[in-house]
Amino acid sequence: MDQAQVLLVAPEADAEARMKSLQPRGLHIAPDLDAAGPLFRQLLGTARMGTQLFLAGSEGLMGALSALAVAEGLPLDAMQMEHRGTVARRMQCVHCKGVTDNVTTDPFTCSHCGLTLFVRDHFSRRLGAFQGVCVDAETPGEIPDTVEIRP
Amino acid sequence: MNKLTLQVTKVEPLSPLVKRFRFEDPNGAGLPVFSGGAHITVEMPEGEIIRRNSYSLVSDPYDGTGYEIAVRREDTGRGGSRYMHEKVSEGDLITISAPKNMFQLDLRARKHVLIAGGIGITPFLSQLRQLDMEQKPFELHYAARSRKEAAGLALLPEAAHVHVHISDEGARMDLGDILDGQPLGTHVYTCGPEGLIKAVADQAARLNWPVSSVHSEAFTSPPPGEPFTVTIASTGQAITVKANQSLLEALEEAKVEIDYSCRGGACGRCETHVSSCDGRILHNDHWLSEDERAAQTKIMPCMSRFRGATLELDL
Repeated sequence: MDQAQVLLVAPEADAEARMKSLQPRGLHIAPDLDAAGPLFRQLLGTARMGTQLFLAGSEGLMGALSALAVAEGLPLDAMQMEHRGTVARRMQCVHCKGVTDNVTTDPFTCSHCGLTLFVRDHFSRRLGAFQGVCVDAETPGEIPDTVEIRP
Repeated sequence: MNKLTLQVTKVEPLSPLVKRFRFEDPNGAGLPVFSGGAHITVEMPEGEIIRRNSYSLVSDPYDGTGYEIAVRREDTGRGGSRYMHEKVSEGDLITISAPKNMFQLDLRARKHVLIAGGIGITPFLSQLRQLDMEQKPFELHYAARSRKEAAGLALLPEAAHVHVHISDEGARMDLGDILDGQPLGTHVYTCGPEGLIKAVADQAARLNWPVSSVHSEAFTSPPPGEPFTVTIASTGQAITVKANQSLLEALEEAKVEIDYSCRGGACGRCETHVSSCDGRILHNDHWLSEDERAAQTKIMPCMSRFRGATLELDL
């Protein structure tokens, strides 16, 4: 742990104290994923080759932070990810390019442009998001039943 | 195979062992531009046989007015580089392949570290121009035995990020020093002798660099060796491979159809299935895995040879 930088995103009440007791080299807390981004980028900016990245959390956290790490030059083979918690997905609308996080149903409504989007399994490593495509483009208004996303 | 017939417009010694050749279209037409690290395959007809060697382009990748290569004379080789040095002169027509690149820069990198040993400097000369053009951060380390032998010196810019290590002058290259502490997103590229390529890969591994950030190109032309005979399964034809000829060249001479690209054991294009083998395949390529080598059911005819009783190729 003496070489580890730990970034906790929206940690539970006792998580910070428990992590502190492990004595990492650095411990950083972000209240949510949006706040974690700049902090994470700053840590990557000072990191040297040989750094390994471990991500554990939701699809949204893994997607957003792995994409950020790729953009900072970290290759995918220097990353390990562990999915924890909800199967909710981070979705990119392929039409307006807006990202909607915590999507739990298929189809869902794009939080940016309002289109009804089909949840594809197509994942973009660059964007760190699954792709959502207009579900009623050919027959407007004909929308399939909404179902819950399964892993 | 996309070929070009060009005219040799300039031959110039860079060091006692290295000559630079410039090729242009005889009618002044523009040539396809290429990317840093690309090579061409040069045809060298001599009597019955056509030898083909691949050489990295050392000219500006964005300059379509001509191609330049630098050839080191290898007196112990099959004779390709000797042919270039002794038989090729200004005004000659020469047949080459269109440029191909097996050693391109990874453009996702935040920084590029280029490490060259000896004549291994050649692919980096075109990459330097590309990196300059794209304004990407890089550093280049060029190691040579002596200043006299260091042909690359004439072609390298003098710049703070271009480092020359001459071992005769006691300035040996320290790989640990070069690789340790590089910023995240650095990629390293090595070209030169096998020993250097392995040393860089080992050093990078010790520093926990991801494998995908470590690139190399070995400078290989097929080694000469003892003559041997192969049999073509479909026709029963027996083909003898001479001492200073590669198996691929012998197959071509016998008009056996076979695909190829790099002719240096790197690209995998000429991979050939072996239908029976009584003896030992001398694998000289960088393509087959350890397991595939041990199984002796595949051979790379551009580089590898054979010692034993019979080798039958599934051709």
